Amino acid sequence: MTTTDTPETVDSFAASGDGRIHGLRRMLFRKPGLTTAAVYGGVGIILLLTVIGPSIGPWLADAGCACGWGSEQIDSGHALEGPSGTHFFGTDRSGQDVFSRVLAAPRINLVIALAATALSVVIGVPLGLLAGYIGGRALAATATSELIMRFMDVLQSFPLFVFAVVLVAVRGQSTEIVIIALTIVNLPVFARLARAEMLTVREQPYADAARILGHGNFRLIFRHLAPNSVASSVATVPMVIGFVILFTASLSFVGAGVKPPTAELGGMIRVGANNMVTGEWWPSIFPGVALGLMVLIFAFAAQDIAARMRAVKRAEGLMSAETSVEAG
Amino acid sequence: MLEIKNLTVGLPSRAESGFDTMLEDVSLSVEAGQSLGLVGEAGSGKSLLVHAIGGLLRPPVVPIGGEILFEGQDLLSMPPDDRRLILGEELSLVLPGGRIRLNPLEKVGRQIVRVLRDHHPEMAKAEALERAIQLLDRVGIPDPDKRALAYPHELSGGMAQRTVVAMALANSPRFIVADEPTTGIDVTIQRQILEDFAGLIREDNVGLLIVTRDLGIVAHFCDRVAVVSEGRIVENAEVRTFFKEQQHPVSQELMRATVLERQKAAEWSAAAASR
Amino acid sequence: MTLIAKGLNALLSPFKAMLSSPFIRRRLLFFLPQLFIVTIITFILLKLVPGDIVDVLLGGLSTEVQRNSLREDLGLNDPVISQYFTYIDGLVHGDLGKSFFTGQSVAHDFRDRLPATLEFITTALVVALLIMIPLGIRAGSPKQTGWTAKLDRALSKVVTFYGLLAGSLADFWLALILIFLFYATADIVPEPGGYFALGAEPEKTTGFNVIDSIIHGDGGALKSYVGHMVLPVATLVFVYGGPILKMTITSMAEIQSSAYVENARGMGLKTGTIRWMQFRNALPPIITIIGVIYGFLLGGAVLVERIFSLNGFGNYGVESVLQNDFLAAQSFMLVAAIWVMLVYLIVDIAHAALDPRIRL
Ligand SMILES: Nc1ncnc2c1ncn2[C@@H]1O[C@H](COP(=O)(O)OP(=O)(O)OP(=O)(O)O)[C@@H](O)[C@H]1O
Ligand SMILES: [Mg+2]
Repeated sequence: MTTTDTPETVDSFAASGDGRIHGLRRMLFRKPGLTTAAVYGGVGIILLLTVIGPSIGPWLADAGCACGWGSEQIDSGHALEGPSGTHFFGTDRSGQDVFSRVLAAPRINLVIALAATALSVVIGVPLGLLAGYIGGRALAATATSELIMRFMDVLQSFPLFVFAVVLVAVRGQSTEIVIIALTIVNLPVFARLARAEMLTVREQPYADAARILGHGNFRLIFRHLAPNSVASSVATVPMVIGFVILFTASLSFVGAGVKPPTAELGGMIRVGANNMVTGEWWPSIFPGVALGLMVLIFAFAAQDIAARMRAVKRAEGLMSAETSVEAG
Repeated sequence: MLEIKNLTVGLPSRAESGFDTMLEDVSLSVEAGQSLGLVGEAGSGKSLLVHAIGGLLRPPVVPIGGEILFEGQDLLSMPPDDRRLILGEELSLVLPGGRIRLNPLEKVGRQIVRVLRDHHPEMAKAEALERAIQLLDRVGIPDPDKRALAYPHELSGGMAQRTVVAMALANSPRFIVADEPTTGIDVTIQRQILEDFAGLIREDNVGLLIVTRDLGIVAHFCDRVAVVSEGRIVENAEVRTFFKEQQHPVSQELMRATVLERQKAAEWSAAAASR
Repeated sequence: MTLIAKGLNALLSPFKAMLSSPFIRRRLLFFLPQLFIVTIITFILLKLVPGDIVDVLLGGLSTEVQRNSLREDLGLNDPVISQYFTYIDGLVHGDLGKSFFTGQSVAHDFRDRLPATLEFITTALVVALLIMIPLGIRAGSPKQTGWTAKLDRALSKVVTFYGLLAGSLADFWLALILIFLFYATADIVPEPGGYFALGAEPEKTTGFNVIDSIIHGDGGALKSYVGHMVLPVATLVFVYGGPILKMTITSMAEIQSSAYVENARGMGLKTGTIRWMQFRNALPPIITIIGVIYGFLLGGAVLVERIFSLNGFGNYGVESVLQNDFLAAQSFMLVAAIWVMLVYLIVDIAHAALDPRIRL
């Protein structure tokens, strides 16, 4: 991205000395700037909320504050009231406290996101590496590789959202099923990235070098090729986490995600949706802002990692874009 | 004709508010009908100088001070739109790299036509194409009328580099700045291109600044030689005196390396002969 | 006359070159197997429904006779393989099954909804392109010097942030915000709900709302349509324009630092020539992202459709699932998947038309 170009160019030169660097290791060590600190601070806050979020309301209640509510507790007789001292973010139509629900909700959203992302990495990346490594060699191997990728194509061509809704509808509404649905949805992303990178990495001089040194296929893949082929997958993880959070919220919004009354951001927006038309904005706006912030933080993290990775790739000369000086 | 005065190029330093300089206080001049060879070890700043002349430095690397005068006009302080009219028309750059210098989506003939017609809109397309084919022929590309219809990926690296040279020669510039123009081209064609340059210098009074790693080229085709080391000109001499005796240790080192190469070549041919 | 022929020839020649390209041939060859796999998956999907599908489809209150006749209709008594061939045979003859929810044939339901949805997402996509591509070109190739340089830098910052923001907003939430702002608060758009105000619908001929309004000379319908579609289109443009903008910027910036653009500048080519060269080279990934979005939106605009009560294709899919109408859901998946594959095919053809290196 243009705005981050300045430090990259300089860094790529700083890094350009050694020929072969493990992209991953390199990418994680770079002086943090102010935005970087803010981004990872944000990630830290989300993690913190995941751990303690649902307890904050009860703690406040224990401390004697009138503003302390459990995330599923109902303040009967005070449904759909605007923000006040007792309900910072107001109450929804059934009298639940929006504030404590917003604090509690990130837990379920993040747990689903982390689990689904981890699963799709664990399955997708090895598949992609395999497809990339064996592709274009012997006929059978190429066919297998093509088969894997074409299957991924088909998987990706399905209407993801309805696909997930169907899975949930067919197999029953549970957190596990939501996670499985989202794993299937994201698997192709990682398979594709890993394969694409493996295709370039296996042509690099050091791969030849290892081959000439007589390292077997297995050792070659695990010691030399795989570590250099996973960088873009790793860099994509935050983006996928953000995507899964959004997707889960969407599922809950049509009633096919997390079951109420569990506090979940999409479900909360759904509860308040009809009130929005009549002007009661708080039950939907607050969870929506929380949702947006959460995803935005992961998007920033993704961008930050992508910028590091570009710098490393340029230094390694793996990227096709030539900068003037490197060419000269 | 081309006069570089006290040119300093660098980038804002991270440590203080100053600059890390990559070219420092460089002064050079090349007259019409003259050729200067620019030599120096890898990373010494030769290409950076070429980029500075073409206004191709990319931030954060910027010119910090000095002037680059082409026929009295400062290329550095000139508005980009005015510089564009000079580049490729009166002063041409030959950048290194071969294929990566060509637009991958366009036939090479058309790319040369663009160089012609962007500077001479009045030229008819057919005429421009004919001229492009002549240019390809001139830089030694066989079957030029067929090759004009080829895409860059269909050319060999050497042919692509020759196409880049053809683009630079298209508008008969009066000055040529060439950065390793013949790297990656086989020796006979290399000779042909350099001889072409030499002819331009002799007959058309063209000026040439040529960056090279090959002292042989300097000895055969240049009047003067300048040696760059770590962003500074450490020696600037007549070719005749330079090859007799080098003043600066860096120049001596360059010379020694070249001589070593030659010796090795002799050894190899001896070894091959004895098999 | 010859001039027209010549012009046509020039226009078509890249496509002719393309059809002779091995890449495109291979690509077309893959299309059929892909279709085949899609049908297998949709077929299996129905088998995944737990319990007796006939019970699920008919609901609790059905007689043994009804169930048996449905079982017979669906061929459930045959072996699985022949069930699959019956399924394919039906598809080939345009028989997508019957919806138990709407009581119509699924094909009929699709004919009813697809045109309006296509019209909706195409409008949104075109508007997004008209805004995002020029913006992205500008922000992706900022001037380094001159008085506009500062402006360009500021623009690229704003635009970069927007790209991140757009990717982070839930489309359904944004839709709600827009309703709150422009209907509940400012009251400058008609009450959300449907493509038209009640009673303002044009006579139905093609199913494309704009076209129907125009061929029946129904100005009132057109006006009502535009009023009702402003917010849904704006929602899609804001959310899905983000990735397009981002890709345009990244791609333009990457090409701007390429060795050949540098060479072009060194040759003193006109700024316009260079921009064009840059844009053409930046185009393939932009086309890809446009394809991904267009493919996705046919079934993926569902939440926006639901919020604005647009009786569209995506909504039909979700509604049929939620109503346990799995035959309809199965056909929905099939059609949406085929749509995506068609769009990707066109994307690949466009890539080949653009880039000679791909035509190999
Ligand atoms: N954008 C940049 N950021 C940091 N350093 C740079 C940048 N551009 C150039 N340099 C530095 O400037 C120096 C000169 O580079 P240049 O390409 O001019 O060398 P050269 O003499 O052409 O070398 P070669 O013979 O290998 O072509 C290099 O040491 C390089 O590290
Ligand atoms: Mg150089």
